[in-house]
Amino acid sequence: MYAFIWRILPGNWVVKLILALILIAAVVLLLMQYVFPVIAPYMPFNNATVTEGGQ
Amino acid sequence: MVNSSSSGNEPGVNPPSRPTIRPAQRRQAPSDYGDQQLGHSADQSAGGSGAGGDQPLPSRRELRRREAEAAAAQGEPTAVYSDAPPVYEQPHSTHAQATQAMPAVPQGHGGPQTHGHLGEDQHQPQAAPQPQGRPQTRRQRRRQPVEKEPLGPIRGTVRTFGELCITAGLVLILFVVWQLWWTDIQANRDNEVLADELTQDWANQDPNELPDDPDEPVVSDPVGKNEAFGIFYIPRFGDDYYRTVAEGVDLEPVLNRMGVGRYPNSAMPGEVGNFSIAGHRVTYGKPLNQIANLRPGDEIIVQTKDGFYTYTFRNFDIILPDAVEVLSPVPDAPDFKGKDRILTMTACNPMFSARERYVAYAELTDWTPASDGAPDNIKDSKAYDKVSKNGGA
Repeated sequence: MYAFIWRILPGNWVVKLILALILIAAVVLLLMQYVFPVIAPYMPFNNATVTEGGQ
Repeated sequence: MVNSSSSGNEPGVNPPSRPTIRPAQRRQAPSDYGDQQLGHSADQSAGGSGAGGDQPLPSRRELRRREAEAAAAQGEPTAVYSDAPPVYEQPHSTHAQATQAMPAVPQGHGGPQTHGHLGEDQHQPQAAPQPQGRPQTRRQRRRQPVEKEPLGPIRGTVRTFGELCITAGLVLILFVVWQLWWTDIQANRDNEVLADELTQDWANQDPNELPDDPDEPVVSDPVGKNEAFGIFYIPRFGDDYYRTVAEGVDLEPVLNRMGVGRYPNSAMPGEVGNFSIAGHRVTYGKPLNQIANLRPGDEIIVQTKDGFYTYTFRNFDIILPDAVEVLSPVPDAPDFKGKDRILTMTACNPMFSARERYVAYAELTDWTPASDGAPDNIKDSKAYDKVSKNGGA
């Protein structure tokens, strides 16, 4: 998978490295900005309230 | 080891020798030359019979040294690290030559190896002719299999699966980093921005009319859902501690981004009854992280547009998540009406768990109208400095 990505990136290794870093940054940003906030409420430590149903 | 006694000089195809030799050689040379390697090992066990089938495998360093010697014997530089693009092309073009010149290769390549096994006449020039097509540097040779070796379907699947597992692990680590570190940074920033906005709003509004009795606190007007209406100062939590309080206890946006949240339908600050709030104890700025450090007598100051309400901490309890009776005007006694002004704060307990809730109870002990300035215990604190700097409240 990673070898494949590396292969399809254009340019010599410097360009590839820069592109790969940009890709990684994009994935990290996507996860932190959109994915993690969605799944965080299902984590067992984010509940601070008392409610009728518990939890 | 069928016949260990005769292993010393038995020529031929002897199978026991092959498994011991092949792995090391494959590691040393790319599998493009695998066919040659097979030739080598057969050739070696036949020709270099003096070495014997049980000869220990040469170490990597040993192999490297021999290689360097072989290269030096040809007058080549031992390490060619400065080579630029042309070198990458070289193996491709020379590979064809190599396959053409194949018959010569096993002899030439096997020669130094057997010498090395004997380990004596190392300094003799390696007379065996090295074919031109042989890649000269380790670097090229190591590079080649990556590009050319096709993965079979099984190895390809296994490798992809492994990479996915590693990726999943990295994503989990990233999630933990995000949850424990990044949400704090975000929430603290939001908290500062929100507090500034709030104090600016207050500066532009007229305060509510004060009641006749100076001891009687003004009761704040209720605000809409998810709107901030106050700022908490808790000196026990640190000199620079302040958190906004907003209406509602939804995770988004209140608890995650607006500090602590007021339970809907509970009392407002200063009102008779139970002013109840909830806040994260870990993550998202952890407004109530140190709730367990509160000691009886600690003051909790709530600033609103109208002034400062000083609540004094009395006691705490650890309850189950469904114990809503702690929010009633007389905590734990929902049938009574109560005449005290109580503050109840809930947070998760133990930390990082939703099993229980930690509840802290406080009671209103003092009240200062906004026109009189901040009460003494926060007047000089960093937190109040910071909040009042822009707002002018």
